[in-house]
Amino acid sequence: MPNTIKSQLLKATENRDSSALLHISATPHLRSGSSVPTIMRQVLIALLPATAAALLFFQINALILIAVSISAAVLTEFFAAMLLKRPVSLHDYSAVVTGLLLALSLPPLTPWWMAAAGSVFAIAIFKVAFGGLGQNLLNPALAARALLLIVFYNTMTTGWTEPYLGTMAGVDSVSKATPLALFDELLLSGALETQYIQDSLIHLLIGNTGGSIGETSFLALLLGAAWLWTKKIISLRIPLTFILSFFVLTWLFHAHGDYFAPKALLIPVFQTCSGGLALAAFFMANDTTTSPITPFGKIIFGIGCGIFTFAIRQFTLLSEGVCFAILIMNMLKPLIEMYTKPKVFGHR
Amino acid sequence: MSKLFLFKGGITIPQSKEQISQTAIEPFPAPSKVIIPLLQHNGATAHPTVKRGDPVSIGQLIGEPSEHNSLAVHASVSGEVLSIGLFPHPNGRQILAVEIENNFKDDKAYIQPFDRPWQEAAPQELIQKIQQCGIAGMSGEGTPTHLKLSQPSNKTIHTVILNACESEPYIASDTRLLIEKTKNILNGFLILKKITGATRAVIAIDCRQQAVYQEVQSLITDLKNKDISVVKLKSKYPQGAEHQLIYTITKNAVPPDGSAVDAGCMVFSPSTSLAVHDAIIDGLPLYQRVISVNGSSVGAPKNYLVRLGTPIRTILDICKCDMTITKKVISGGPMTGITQSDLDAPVIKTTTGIFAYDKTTPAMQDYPCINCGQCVSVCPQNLVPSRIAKYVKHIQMKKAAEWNFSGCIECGACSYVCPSRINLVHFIKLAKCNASLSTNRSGSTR
Repeated sequence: MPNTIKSQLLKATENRDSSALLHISATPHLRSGSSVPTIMRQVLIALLPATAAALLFFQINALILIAVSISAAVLTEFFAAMLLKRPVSLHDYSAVVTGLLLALSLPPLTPWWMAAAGSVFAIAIFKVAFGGLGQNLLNPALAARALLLIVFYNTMTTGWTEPYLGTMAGVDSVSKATPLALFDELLLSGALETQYIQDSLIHLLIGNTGGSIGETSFLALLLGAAWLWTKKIISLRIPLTFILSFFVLTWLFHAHGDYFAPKALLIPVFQTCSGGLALAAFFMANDTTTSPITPFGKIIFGIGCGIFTFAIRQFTLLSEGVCFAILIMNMLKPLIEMYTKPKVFGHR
Repeated sequence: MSKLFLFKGGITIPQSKEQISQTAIEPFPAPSKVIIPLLQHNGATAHPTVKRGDPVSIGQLIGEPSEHNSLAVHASVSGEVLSIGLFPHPNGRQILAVEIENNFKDDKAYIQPFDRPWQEAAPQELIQKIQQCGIAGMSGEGTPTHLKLSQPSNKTIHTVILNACESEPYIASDTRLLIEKTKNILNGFLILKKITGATRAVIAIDCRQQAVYQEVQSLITDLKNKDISVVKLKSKYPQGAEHQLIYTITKNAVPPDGSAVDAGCMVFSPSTSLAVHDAIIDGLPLYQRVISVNGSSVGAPKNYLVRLGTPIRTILDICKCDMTITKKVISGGPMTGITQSDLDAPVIKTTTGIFAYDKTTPAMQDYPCINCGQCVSVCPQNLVPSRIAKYVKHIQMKKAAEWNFSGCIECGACSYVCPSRINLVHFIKLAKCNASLSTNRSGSTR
């Protein structure tokens, strides 16, 4: 019997049509057509309104920063790939996204070489050295910004200028501070008026105020985030929990017992709209690689970002805390994922 | 009863059924030679009962069950046994099969139909008849139907579900059957309901298939049968998956390591119900089935009633499939089907469709995982496919087990959406395969 089987086997092999070699692959045989480059392109599209606002309000300064930052990031990625003898992965647009995000988080008067250095660090150290796309522990743009802040502390904290288009009414004297830094000053001296907050809120929403070039226009950032959300590229778990937890903490902290007074409500609104919280929450905390993948983990991550941002803004010398808050949570990401494994459907 | 039900996750594949579900079933010409594998389901191979040179008729037993989980096999053409040996099987292996040359006389040798109305028969008798006719789950899963029905008595079945969702895209064999053979399918379903002793019978229909809904609804109104209800389900893949279907209809979740009976349910496909009807009423063994032929290199999509054992090559030839541009041939559906290397592999009891594509999917992933979580949001089983795949890739099976790979139903939704085009299901299957191998190994050393 084994012999007949063997001869049958041989016969079956000989009969095989060698002209039609067919492709063998794992299931499924249909794919949606979405790819990493399409996602990155969508993120770039979503950043367009904020970039346009940056160019509008900070003009040549913004243009130089964005151009230098992106080209430095792309060139670093290219040379790193050459050096490491790896396939050049520029076509996935991730370097462009990193460069743009870094530029948008820089003060308008940052010298161009500083932006370039930041981009080189973001790609070479915080991305490629960790293993490239998808492997980095920290968000490259944020990590580079934190590095620049520490190394060039003076420039990074005083490099503000007023927007070239439409100045803030009534605050001419403070042309060299961000609204948030000014806010802190006024709050400490007790001179903070409800009217002032109301006035500056409008500027914060539109973006014609001091600040990093891409973070000033709350509405433009929101527009971009809404685009990504309708395209189902981002989930809103992280940004919403981030913003909400930060808002609630600030509200409780500043209310002093009178929770529904106009001032008690306006302070957290002001704080939420300023200091790059929207840029950070929607585009940096929500960076997929450096945030947890589990649905519940995303919520913990968002709340953690909110708590750390609040703590840094309130209790430290830094007036802008989002950057370090997100970096801290980035480092906690593997731990969060480990403890938030979803339960299998039907598990009791 | 037009409420839409839902389950978590899933994907929508747009416009996958419009054309194929409008195509009426045509009988496929009997081929001059069939190769009938003695294993056409999920279980053990049958023993051949014929020799080379034996004359056979349609429906004649040619393979008898060798073990409790093997299944009777019947001839699908009349003629002469050419040989018995190893032949290519759609699962990719070489499996014992009977090769029969067709003499086109179409002599029939059906088994005795049931001697009295089925309503008067005991469940055990009906199960025996189903076993004789060699019926297995025909929508791909391939469990022998008689085994499924002979559940241990400590588990009561309260609901039977007719799975008319057919969530696999570009396939409409069940949908067409429901339109054309509604009455027989319903009768088969009632027989199954009687055997299980269920009190509730639900027909689940994809909300896109309005024609099916009308057909079924009008017949039920005629029958005046109060036990049967029809529900429309939202079209989402994998709505037809057993766990998801049971949950959407009864809100009972099947435990991840359990089966449908643990939730008190049993799910049957329309084609299985039809086969049961034919077996009990007409004494017809399972020797033919309806398949959809579709795909980018097939000229016109068709639904065919095919004799089991018809080689895939013959079907593709008749469908004018251009083999010079075809890169991939699939037996089954495009989401869960198996790619074929040898087109002599035949249609078997579990083949729902034959697909030929002029494109391929990536063999290796295109990009590294960017942790985007798309796979998590579409997973109907609440898993993290990308994480499991990562651990399997680095051969950390313990870690992979911690992330519950065994809960995967292999629907393929994660691989479908993955922007890095990682073959996630493939890695999970590898993990499952490895797990079953290591349990076998440790079992033998003990």
